[in-house]
Amino acid sequence: MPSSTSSSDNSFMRAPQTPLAWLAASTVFLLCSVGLEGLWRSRGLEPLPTDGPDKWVESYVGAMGTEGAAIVLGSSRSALGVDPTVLAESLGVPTYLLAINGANPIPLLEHLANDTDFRGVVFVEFMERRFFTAEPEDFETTRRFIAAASDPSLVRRQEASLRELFSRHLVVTGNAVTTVAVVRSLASERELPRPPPRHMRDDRFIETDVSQIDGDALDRRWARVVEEAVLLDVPAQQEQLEAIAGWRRTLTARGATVLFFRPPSTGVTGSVEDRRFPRGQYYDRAKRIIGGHWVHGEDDHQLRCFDGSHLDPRDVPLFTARLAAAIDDRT
Amino acid sequence: MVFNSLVFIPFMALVLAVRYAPIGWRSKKWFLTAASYAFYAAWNPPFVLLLLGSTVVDWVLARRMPAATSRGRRGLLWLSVCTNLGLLSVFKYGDFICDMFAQLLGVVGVAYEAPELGLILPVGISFYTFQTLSWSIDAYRGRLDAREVSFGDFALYVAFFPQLVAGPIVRAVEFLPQLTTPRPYDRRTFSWGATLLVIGLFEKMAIADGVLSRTSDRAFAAATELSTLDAWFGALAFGGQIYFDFAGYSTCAIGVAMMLGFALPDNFRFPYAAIGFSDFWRRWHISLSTWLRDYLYIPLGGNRQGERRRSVNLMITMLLGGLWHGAGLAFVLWGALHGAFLGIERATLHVAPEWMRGRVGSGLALLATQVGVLVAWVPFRATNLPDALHFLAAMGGAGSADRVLSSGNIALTTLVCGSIYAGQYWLRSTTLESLAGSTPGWVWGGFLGLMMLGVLTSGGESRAFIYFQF
Repeated sequence: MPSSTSSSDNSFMRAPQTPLAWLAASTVFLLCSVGLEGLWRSRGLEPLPTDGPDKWVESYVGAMGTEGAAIVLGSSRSALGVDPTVLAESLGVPTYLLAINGANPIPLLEHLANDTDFRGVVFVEFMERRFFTAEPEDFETTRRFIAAASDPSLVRRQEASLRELFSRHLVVTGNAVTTVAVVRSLASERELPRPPPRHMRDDRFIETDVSQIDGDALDRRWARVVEEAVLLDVPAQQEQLEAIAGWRRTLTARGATVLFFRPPSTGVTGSVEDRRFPRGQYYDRAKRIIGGHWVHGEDDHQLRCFDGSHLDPRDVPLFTARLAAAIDDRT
Repeated sequence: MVFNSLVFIPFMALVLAVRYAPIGWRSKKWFLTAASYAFYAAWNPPFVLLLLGSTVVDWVLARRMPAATSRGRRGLLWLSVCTNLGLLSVFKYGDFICDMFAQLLGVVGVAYEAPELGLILPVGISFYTFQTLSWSIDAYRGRLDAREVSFGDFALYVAFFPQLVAGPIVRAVEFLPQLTTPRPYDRRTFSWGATLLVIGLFEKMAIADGVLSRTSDRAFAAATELSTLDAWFGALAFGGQIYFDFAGYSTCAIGVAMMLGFALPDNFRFPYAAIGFSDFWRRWHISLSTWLRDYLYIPLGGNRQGERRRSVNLMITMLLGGLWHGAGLAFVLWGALHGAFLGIERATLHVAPEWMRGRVGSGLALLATQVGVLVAWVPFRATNLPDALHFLAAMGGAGSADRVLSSGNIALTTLVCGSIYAGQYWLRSTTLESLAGSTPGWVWGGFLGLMMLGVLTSGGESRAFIYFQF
């Protein structure tokens, strides 16, 4: 049978001469990458740190190595809604944002209670559709990040540093301008990618340019996600809440302070959440079973969300200060 | 460490510098062994001890075989087989065996909760176990004299980093002769090796991870609520993803080995152009299928004991081949499907009408083969057996009305997978080397440059190669 392969033990015999090919390849590669870098920069794109397990592990390691540090556990509502710099200034302790987009904070709370000796301040984002469900994907994402932190690989840190180096200096290696992202942008927007409306700071807080966002469309999308959330049955809910209560007690007994906070929601998303998760039946029940300190984002102040689900950047300092004040009041 | 990581660049630069430095061949081989152990230790340091232990045991046992009596040789072989398969069983199948045992007891009414061992699966253990087994069996069969092989050479054969963690599975008789005499630098070989490395990285990073994984991940995550269309496109995307992931790894491995002056065996020959399932297995993961043929199927009796026994042997081989990939019933189902396909193919060959032997027949056989392969990928990729059955039911028309995949997912999958099938069919009777040789250098170089650009702009985290988990 004729060999027709991308690789072969006979390659030694039939490897083609390729000096001209390599010259052409290097030229094409250099010209295209330099050209693309220039094109993206001319369109206002900048090199930015990339969010992902590497960046998260950096914050996690920092938090675990700092006595009395404050940490924030949650999803994108916290990543866009709790400013760790403001929190650090208010509390007077180093603060680390350990929120993960689209993920459930419960596995991380369990990990902190059982696998670490953390005894600082823990802010835990409470969302009904995460505390009363067991979406395997949301749990898996968090577990993947935790696993990355305990990855025994000898070269993980070096790999992360090299990736960071590239992402800080080259736009062309960033996620906003991957080949697929460019094709998608051309297909859906009929133009090349623009600077993304969100960018992550070094402390993992995500800054958002709301003027570039269609808040109403996103609001409808989040509302649909809330509407479609599949809840655990009541005994399983009870079991999950009791487990969380146990982890809170473990942390508190060790000297840590744990505060649960419910970020506000508005618009269609807020209405759907109010209807699907009446406060007495969900928030109050969780508060009663889990115990400890709780803050509800819809108390006291009228906070705004730009897409029904995520805090308006103008209200982030106010909400963050409220969390800090809640800790001061209760300790 | 993986080929698509950034730390691999300084690692490879150092290895190449020493490999081609003006020092003795023996020193170079020891350095390559040390580098291979460092490559493996970078993942999880303690597991190098397992690799070393397996190497020492097999080297010692095989060296005693030539002088032993027939009975003694057989005993030494069994000791080697039991040691290797024992380690594999504990680390890879421990939890699966406990679970199956508990379920079996449950069937006869005994309630037993199996303990969860929770052992970490050492990366590459399935691959290097098969390599050392082939060494022991070949020594037993007299195909090699282990007394002529130094421990250093054997250790390098087992641990050679380009193929250590995901193959190709190299036979000792293929690799060890390459270590006997110094292999000088050859510009053509080195440059073609580098070309293969770029192609492999492009396949893995730009296509498997960059395009197809999004569609297949999304479809398989929603296995229980898929529409029929989404199920087919999800399976199609995974078929493409696993090909580019694994063929990409093999191509990188062969390319890196060539850059170091060594040859590794073929692993893929355009499998998505296969006409018939036996043809598919001559083209897909060739180093595993030939290993299973030579060390399992033929010793079981192969096709020497009649048609019925042949089918049984084939099914046993495919079931164990499935189980080799992972400890789970879904992998067994994958193997069973391929065993059944091969059996059906064999049975229909005898009764096929004359017109089926022409072009129309070939076309139908090509279509049937590729659909069968696609269907079999479902249990291979699904999280568990129930999910796989849901997914297959959706492919069979019992899907939900909800759409999970976007039109963008479907368009990209159609484009990429359509290109795979068309490209592989076009190239099925040629080789990449002859294609490169017959293409003007500047055109070939242009494509290579664009592939390098594709790698640079693939973005995201480096995802592990799928076959690392096996």
